[in-house]
Amino acid sequence: MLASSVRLCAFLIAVLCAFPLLGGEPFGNSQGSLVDGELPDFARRAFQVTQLVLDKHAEPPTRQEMLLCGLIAVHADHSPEGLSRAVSEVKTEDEFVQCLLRFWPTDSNGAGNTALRHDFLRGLGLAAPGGLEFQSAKDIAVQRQLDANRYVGIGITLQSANNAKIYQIGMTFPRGPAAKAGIKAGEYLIEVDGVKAEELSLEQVVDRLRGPEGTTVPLGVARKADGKPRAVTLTRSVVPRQMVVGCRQLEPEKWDPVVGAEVPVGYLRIGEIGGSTVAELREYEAELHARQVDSLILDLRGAHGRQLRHALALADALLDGGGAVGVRLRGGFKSAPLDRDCLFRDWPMAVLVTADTNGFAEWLAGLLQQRRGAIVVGQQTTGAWRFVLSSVELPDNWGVMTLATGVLEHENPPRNAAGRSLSTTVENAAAARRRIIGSHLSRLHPAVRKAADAPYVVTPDVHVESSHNESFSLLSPRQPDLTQSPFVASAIKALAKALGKASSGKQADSGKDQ
Amino acid sequence: MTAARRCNRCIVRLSLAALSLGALLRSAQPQEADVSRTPRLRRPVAMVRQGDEERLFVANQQSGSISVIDPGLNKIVAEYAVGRKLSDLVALRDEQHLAAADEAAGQLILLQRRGATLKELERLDVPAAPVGLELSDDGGQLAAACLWGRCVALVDLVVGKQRAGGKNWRVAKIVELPFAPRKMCFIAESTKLVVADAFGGRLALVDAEQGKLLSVRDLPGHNLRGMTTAGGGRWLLIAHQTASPLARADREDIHWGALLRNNLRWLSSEYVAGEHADLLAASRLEFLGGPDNGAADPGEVLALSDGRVAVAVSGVDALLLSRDDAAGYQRIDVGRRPAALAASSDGQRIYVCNMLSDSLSVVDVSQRRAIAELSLGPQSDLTLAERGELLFYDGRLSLEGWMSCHSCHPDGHTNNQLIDNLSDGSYGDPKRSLTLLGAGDTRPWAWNGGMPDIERQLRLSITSTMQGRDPTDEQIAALAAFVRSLEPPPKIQPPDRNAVEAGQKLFDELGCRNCHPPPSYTAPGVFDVGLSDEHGRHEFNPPSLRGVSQRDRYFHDNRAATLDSVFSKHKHQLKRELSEEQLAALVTFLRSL
Repeated sequence: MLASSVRLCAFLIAVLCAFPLLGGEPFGNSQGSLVDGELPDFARRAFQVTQLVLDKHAEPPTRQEMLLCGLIAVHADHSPEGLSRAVSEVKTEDEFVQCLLRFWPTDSNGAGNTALRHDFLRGLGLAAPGGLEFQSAKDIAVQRQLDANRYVGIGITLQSANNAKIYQIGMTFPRGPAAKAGIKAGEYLIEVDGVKAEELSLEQVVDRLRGPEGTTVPLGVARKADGKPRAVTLTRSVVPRQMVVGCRQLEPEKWDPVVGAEVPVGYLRIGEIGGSTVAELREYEAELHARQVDSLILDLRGAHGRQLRHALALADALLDGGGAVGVRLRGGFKSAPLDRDCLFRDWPMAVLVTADTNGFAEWLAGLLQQRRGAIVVGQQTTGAWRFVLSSVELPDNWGVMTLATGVLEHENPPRNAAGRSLSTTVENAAAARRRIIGSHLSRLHPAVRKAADAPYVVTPDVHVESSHNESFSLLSPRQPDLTQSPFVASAIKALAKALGKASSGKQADSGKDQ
Repeated sequence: MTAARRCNRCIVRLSLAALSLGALLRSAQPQEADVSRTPRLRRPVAMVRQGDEERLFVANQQSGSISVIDPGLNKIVAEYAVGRKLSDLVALRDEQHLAAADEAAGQLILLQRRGATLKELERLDVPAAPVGLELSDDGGQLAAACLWGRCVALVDLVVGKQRAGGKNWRVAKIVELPFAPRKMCFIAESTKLVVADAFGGRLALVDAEQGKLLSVRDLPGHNLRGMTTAGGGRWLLIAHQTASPLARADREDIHWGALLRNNLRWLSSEYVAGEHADLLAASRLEFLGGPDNGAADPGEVLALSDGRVAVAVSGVDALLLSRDDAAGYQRIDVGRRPAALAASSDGQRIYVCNMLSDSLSVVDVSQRRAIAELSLGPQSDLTLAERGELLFYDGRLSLEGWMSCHSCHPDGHTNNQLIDNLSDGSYGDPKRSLTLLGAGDTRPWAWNGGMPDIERQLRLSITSTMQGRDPTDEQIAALAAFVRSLEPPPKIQPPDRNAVEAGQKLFDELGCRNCHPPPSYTAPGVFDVGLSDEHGRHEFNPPSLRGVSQRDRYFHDNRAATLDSVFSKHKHQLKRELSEEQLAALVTFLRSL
């Protein structure tokens, strides 16, 4: 199942599009020891996983809920008779193990058994709001580099046909060592670190390509899969990528950040809320300032991020103080003060969201609307995903589990003009969450609703209903020309209106002052 | 007279000065000993420009001398032995007098200037360790920040109009503070004095006329090392650092400035003086340096008359000068650890005292570069500890120059901030930076007591917390020698002997000495005292109690803000309830350590 889900294209920078956990493949590729061994051993490990969830999760489900979701998952479309009742009576570790063994499909064997164990863990994870992700410590370290935009490698993506052990370079990152050495997308990797690539699995190739900054790796690269390789030795280095882009791509990694014909307006699209997001925004601010632009459309529609501190840094950079923002943890509310640095200070701002904007992006859009008076353009969000993830080590070197240890909150929940809380119904949010999850499992158990009880949705000031297909992946080879986007057009209009008001207001003010 | 003989004469004179310092300094004779050619370390810390002839007077910390410089001639005119350890210098408004602070002597020294000659007029005792001086706009009031005395001495000046008894000055008020002060600034037409924490991030507001503490506020930050007014007094500029407990001490977070940032903060003087509910109302924050280009340890700030601002970035040996037409700052290389700044009378030059290279850089503002570096005199050979001192303040030991040892251990003490590093073996449980003052003999090190020798701890701090290159063994030896040379801070109040004795008895009775045995008041083991970190670790190495009264936060996670609350609120290892008198006695005893 894992192999088929990888199918055609496996990124060397494996999780560049860091999915929200429930939207993506919940496993890393190195959780082998967690699912290995005899079934009773696996059952005991699963019990310990549930214990960690109970100990660390911000809104932990019951152990029975986790076991039930896991067993429903391994049975796919039909639940065995008596499952719910039997699970509800589980209390001790031994009872947990016995229950798992009793309801484990009897005809499973070998590889199928491993796949079932993956399904079990995936189902178990769905019971926990925010899901669970299992990775090796090594993968977590890489993930951290990616989140921080400090990935160290040679700067390529690799693709291989189904287990064919032919590795083609999907793309090269302009500022990476491979691109600098003249390696082009479409070429084939024939040798890696002195070993023929055809003798290696994709994971082994990736392992050999990765290494500490400043170390070297010899490669054999050819134009054709059966061509004679040319030798290239690359020095691994940080491979920066863009987390923020403009509206129109001028050349690789060069974007035009200005839209608007009559009045120029800045347009910046945040792809990732990561380590470099604030620094990139700061550079764009200088460029926009030099081009005498002083209003901004901030596109958060496809923005996603994994690390709380990156989201807090971005909120801090875009808001001029105004008190703390925070996170609800098990031990209570933890707030982070916002300081008085402020990008695009005093600029009118429009923020783009869709119904799928979630997590840090949704939280940020709400903050910008509430505290900065930003005009939110787009669709009402669902509040269905607002978790703060942390990684905890699993016992006995089984790897690392990432889970929701906190929930994003505002100290003062945003309220609409009528003074009502902007909470949506549990049912609506659950429906939205199912869309995000994209899994048949989510409808099987009411535990998933727990995550959906989200009081923080963002209601747009200007609603845009559009079927316009706008890709948000910064890895997409063809980037859309967003100057044609109805979202952008609505935002320009809204900003023009606001600017008109502001300038007439300013005139009135200055008249008063003088 | 040959140079050698002249030199010998100077040394003889210096020796005599050391033997009969008091008598010599009370003599009110001109400071005739020109010691500018004596090989030694000077460590310039403060500088003023005075007189039409554009003379610079530089106070040297280690030599206790004042160098007189003619920058036009690029020449040291003279150097006078003045005190033991000078820390600051101000020029009085009459252009004929200077006041210096002698940190070691606990005195202020009034000097009369005639041309390039200096004559001591009078000394004034102030509380322990005066490290900062600030003069009111009208020149009638001098404030002295007393570091270990944890107070500000407000001094009335009547120079030239002597009081009865021939005194030029007197201490009018002592304003006690809940922290150790260093930088100060008069605002609101000198009716208010802002006093900054030397280590953490507190700001006190003092009514300068009444000599009364009005408020103490927390500024988000630490290491408040530069403070001045700008924009005709509209802005109060503070150079400082901020640390985030949410970030990790790893390459990623350090590179983006998530762990530690170097800042210039623009506070509204009006709101600060008016005690606005939000200290940061109408303020701005500028980041200094950036990814690949850290600006460790911003210090002295100079507001030029044309609106531009210069900041000495002491950890990376640079001056940051604001650009003419765009946001941001341009970096200008100067000498090691720039510590004091002064502008020429025409504003075209900035003079920079380089503390650790014993030199003066001359920066041309329009050319935006240092056009000269003038040595303050011959240096003596550096001892191992002195070589360690150079490294301690060197931001280049860290990844991209973001921080130095001094960033978290200001002058060897603690910045009171929580940092998430690998000192305790894992990320995810930030802990307070520990003071290094007096820590040389308190083996083992780190909160978990996991470091049996200081050399390993220093290496880990550089390669892991600071993510710098692996230092050489020689560098580690030098740093270790420097850390071992750091004395514990002095106690802050003269002990009430009875209370001290009662407190000591309680200390013994309660079993405090099990974990904090004298003379170091720490023990080599780890102990479970009912505290735990985020990883559930509950055994910690007890920090030494020597100089404990000079700390501002207690326990690994800063949960206690006062020594009293360690017991009254957190009931630290109390076997039984203590009466208020007993608690007071115990605290008095601890303060006497």
